[in-house]
Amino acid sequence: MKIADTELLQTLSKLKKNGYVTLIALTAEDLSHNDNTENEFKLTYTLYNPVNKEFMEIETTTNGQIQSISALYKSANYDEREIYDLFGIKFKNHKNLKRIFLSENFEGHPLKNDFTTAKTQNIQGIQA
Amino acid sequence: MKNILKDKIEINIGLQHPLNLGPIRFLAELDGEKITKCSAILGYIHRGIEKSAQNKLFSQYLPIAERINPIDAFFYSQGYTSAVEETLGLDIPKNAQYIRVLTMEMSRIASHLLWLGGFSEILGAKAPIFYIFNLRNKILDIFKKITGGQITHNYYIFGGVRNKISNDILNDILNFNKNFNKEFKTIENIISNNLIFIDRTRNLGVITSETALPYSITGVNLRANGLPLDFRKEKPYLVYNELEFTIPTAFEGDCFARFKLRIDEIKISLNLVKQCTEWLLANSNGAVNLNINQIDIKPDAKRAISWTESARGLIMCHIVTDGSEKPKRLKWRTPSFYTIQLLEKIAVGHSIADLPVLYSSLDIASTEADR
Repeated sequence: MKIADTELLQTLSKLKKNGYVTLIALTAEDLSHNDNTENEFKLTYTLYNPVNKEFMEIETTTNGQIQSISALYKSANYDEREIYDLFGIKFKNHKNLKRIFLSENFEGHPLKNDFTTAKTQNIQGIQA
Repeated sequence: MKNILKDKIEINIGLQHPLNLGPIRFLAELDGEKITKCSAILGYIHRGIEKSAQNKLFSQYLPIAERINPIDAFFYSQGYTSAVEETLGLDIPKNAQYIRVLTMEMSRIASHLLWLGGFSEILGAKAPIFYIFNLRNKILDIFKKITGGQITHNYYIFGGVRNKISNDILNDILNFNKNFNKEFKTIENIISNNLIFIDRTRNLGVITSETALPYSITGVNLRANGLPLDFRKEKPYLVYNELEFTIPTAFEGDCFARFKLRIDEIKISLNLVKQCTEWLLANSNGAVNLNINQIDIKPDAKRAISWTESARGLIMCHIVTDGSEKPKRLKWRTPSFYTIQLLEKIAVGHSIADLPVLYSSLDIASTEADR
């Protein structure tokens, strides 16, 4: 199911009431081209209903800012931090939006199309 | 003078800990001995496994996929190869499907045995681990005979598996299967009849399904709360719908229930191994792969998802291809990534001495969470 990013919270809270209580996975994909400066990402929310044993996929696109669903689905907390870390998508109203795998000093977001692996970075210091 | 007993203190647990399957750090806030807040710090073994897929040919990524969690190597191979096979529209031969189920179920036994050894050791039972590793080594030796490697195998290829399993090895597996129960019974009795073990694990770290579902918990940790959710039955892949097996569940949701359930799963997997071996002995002439060129893999622009029930829970591989010889995007859903979040929640209220027990009972592998 494809929805607009503004309808995300509304749609998911409705689905959660209808039994889709588990967010199996949250997948992001960078749709932008290297020469294009506009950001465009696709987010796929895979939901699961343990009673009817049904899966549902919600797809939405965003330009880099979207509502957080971590209040609705607890597991989205890490998922959104991961996507922020690797894609740089900012989730509004997320309580603890910081990098999860990489160091806070790291520059850039590795899974974005414009990220270059040619440059080496010296990362010093480990954050708590 | 400040009364230090009234202040909350913060302590680090990890980075390295004897029971860890990989580096992970916990920051626990303590009030006396009670944990009031616990947060996990990930990233110490982040290898950029999703990123590296974008710079490699499909076949070059085969050995890397296994290294997400070497203990569950076969499951990750299955997740990756079956997702790519779906984009190519390949149906792999029956023999290859049976071999994949056979090796995956043996891997599940090996993984649960490794867990059992570590779990009993941190509870103070120092002897069982030696017997358990003896038993586990027999499985690894069989893997070595089949694939050439004990831990990582690089055995699954697009369109099947790399080579046949000879009848000698299949007979070895049947022998191993026959003798396993006798040896395992001794170990099981040492642990599960031990009063200290029972006292230490009963009613500890109780998880209900209402807590587990929003945290996206799968695998044994979910089934210990009474929900029989297993993707081998839910979304049958390979030949699982042709095999007879049940999904064991427990209802208590505590550490002891998770221990019991893993023991039950070992027995179910043994039965599956037996069914597969017998089938393979009866149909030993079939092809085990489609003989396609592994280097010339070029799927059309497509999107495929594969579901694999590993020893720790659901593995999902989400692959997006764009017609080139490299994947455009590859996403892994790994079970431990979600279990760590649950641990942060359930650790609150327990004493600091219980944290290693809780961590171990959930069977968390940080290699898998960090990717």
